[in-house]
Amino acid sequence: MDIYLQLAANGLLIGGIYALVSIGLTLIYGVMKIINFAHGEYIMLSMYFTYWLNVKLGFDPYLSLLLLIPSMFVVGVLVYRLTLHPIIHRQQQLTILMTMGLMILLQNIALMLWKADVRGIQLSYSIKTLGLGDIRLSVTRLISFGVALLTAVALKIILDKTWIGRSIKAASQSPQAAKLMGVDTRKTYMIAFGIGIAVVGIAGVSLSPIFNVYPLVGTQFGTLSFVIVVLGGLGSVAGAFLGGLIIGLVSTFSGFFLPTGYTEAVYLGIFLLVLLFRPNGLLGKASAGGGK
Amino acid sequence: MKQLMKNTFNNWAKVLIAGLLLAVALALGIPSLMGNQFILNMVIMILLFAALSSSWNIIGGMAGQLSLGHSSFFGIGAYAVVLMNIKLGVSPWLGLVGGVVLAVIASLIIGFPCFRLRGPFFTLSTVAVGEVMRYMAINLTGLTYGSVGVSVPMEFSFSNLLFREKWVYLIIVVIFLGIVLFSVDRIKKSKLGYYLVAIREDQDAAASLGIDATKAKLTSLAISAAFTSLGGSIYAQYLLYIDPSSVFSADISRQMVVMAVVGGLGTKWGPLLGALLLVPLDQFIRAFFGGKVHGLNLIIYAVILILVILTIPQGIWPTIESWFKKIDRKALSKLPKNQAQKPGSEVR
Repeated sequence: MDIYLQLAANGLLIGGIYALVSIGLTLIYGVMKIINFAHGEYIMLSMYFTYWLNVKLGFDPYLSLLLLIPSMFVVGVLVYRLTLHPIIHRQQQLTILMTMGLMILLQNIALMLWKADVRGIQLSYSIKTLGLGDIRLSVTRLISFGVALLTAVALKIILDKTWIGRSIKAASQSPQAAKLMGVDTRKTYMIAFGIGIAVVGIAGVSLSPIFNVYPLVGTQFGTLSFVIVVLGGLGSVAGAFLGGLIIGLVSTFSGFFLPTGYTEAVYLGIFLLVLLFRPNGLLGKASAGGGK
Repeated sequence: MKQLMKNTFNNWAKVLIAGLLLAVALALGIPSLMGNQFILNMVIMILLFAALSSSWNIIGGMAGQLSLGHSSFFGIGAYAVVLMNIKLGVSPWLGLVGGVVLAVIASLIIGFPCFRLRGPFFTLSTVAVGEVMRYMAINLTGLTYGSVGVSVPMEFSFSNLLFREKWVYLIIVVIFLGIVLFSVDRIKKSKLGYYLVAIREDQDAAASLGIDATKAKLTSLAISAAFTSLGGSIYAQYLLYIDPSSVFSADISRQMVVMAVVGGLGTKWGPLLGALLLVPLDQFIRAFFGGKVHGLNLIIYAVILILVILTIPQGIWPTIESWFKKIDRKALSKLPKNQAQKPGSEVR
């Protein structure tokens, strides 16, 4: 019985972190209907930033959040302004192709600069655990889980209480109506994309103490994010949390009971089933695009 | 005026075809003179990828259904021909047919549920299908030998579809590309072609006119899958070795897409033009930089894709086409007035 409790605890912890990883993707889709195929690559970039800050300058990864959040925000704004802004009002196909191009570009720049080596951050508290009854929880995972919760709360406050947050929500509900109310949708989209990428930056930082980084790490977490986001409902932040927890549990349990290599097959299977039978996800809006 | 425009453009298309034939002739001539396998290999790859990209274009460009999972069909074709040969002793010629049948069946199984989805949801489901196929190829080791891959038995003969001389493959891919382009042309001029255009522009409007959108999309996916599978089979017989990470890779799917988009989405000649530009680039970078600079070829691919989307989203071929129309218009304006047609009859 203990082992099930332990697995469930691990699954929920990692699920929370997975949720954080996928919030940026769902936020960007929710606001401007862009499916960011390069999502995983921004995770990869921020994991490398965190890694180099730690190795070269001795920054604690969680401390590097202070640098990562603003710089990833700027990266997001620039990428949006240069590549997506000019085509946002054309066919949706073009934005998919554009983000696919960015994905190939970023992956291979990383491959060229940093080679295919696998790198990991070693911390003094990397292997420490906390006891809770019979269950033991890894300290880094607990901190990252905390970061995930804080991020979700902060995002909620920004979206509900600030002017820019409310314009983002307005623009996502109806760009025309928002424009009529005096919202500059172009600027709003740019900032929303920046916020989305900044959240991805936070996710990359939270992953760094737990997972190794290599140029193709983005495909791993990118696929994971797509599964979570579609499961929860594309565009819904609450759905991303629910999806993250479910996938965290599923991957932990299937990783324990099934031979290696099958975990990803399991969640890809879930992904396909959800897409085919409930394309709007568990918490998505009915008009999200599925159906006949 | 319409006639005039058509003439210049057709002439230009003839020039392109002549250029292509010249390239082929050079490729045939040079190796016999210098034994240059590099150029010959490059021409084979250009034509093979042109055919693959054209096959993708049937569903991705003409029907506007952005599939990123065509490696599924490519891999089915590659594995069908090799495994049927090894496990059942079936001649690769029959293996080609087997691959096509399997790919068509797979396309119907995949297409039927996936076509209920639209836009990005369809694209996502094709990505997932491609990944699932790759996992299956890796993990069903009893059938596929897993990630170790399979080699084609080295028995060179016509009945084994295996040739010592590379130029035979050149003839094979020329015929293959010819068949694909001919089919694309026929589809474009058929009822199905017009259905697909209508669906691409506005599926609901098309359906309201009585077009069975699902059926039209399924038909075009099946045709596209059949040709992609043939390409996979030829690839396997040419390279003599396949493994899941090469034939079921997302990279293969993306290459087909990128060539079609760069050349001209939904056009007949676009994918060929895309392959003519991108494959040599890829091969030369690999040859010159080799293992020293990883990923440079794909960086340049991505930059070209991004620049094309930003500057000429319709692709290179339609852009050239519109230049020629402009030249025609200029030529026309220089004609004496009575020969020029009335402004009202102007096309476009």
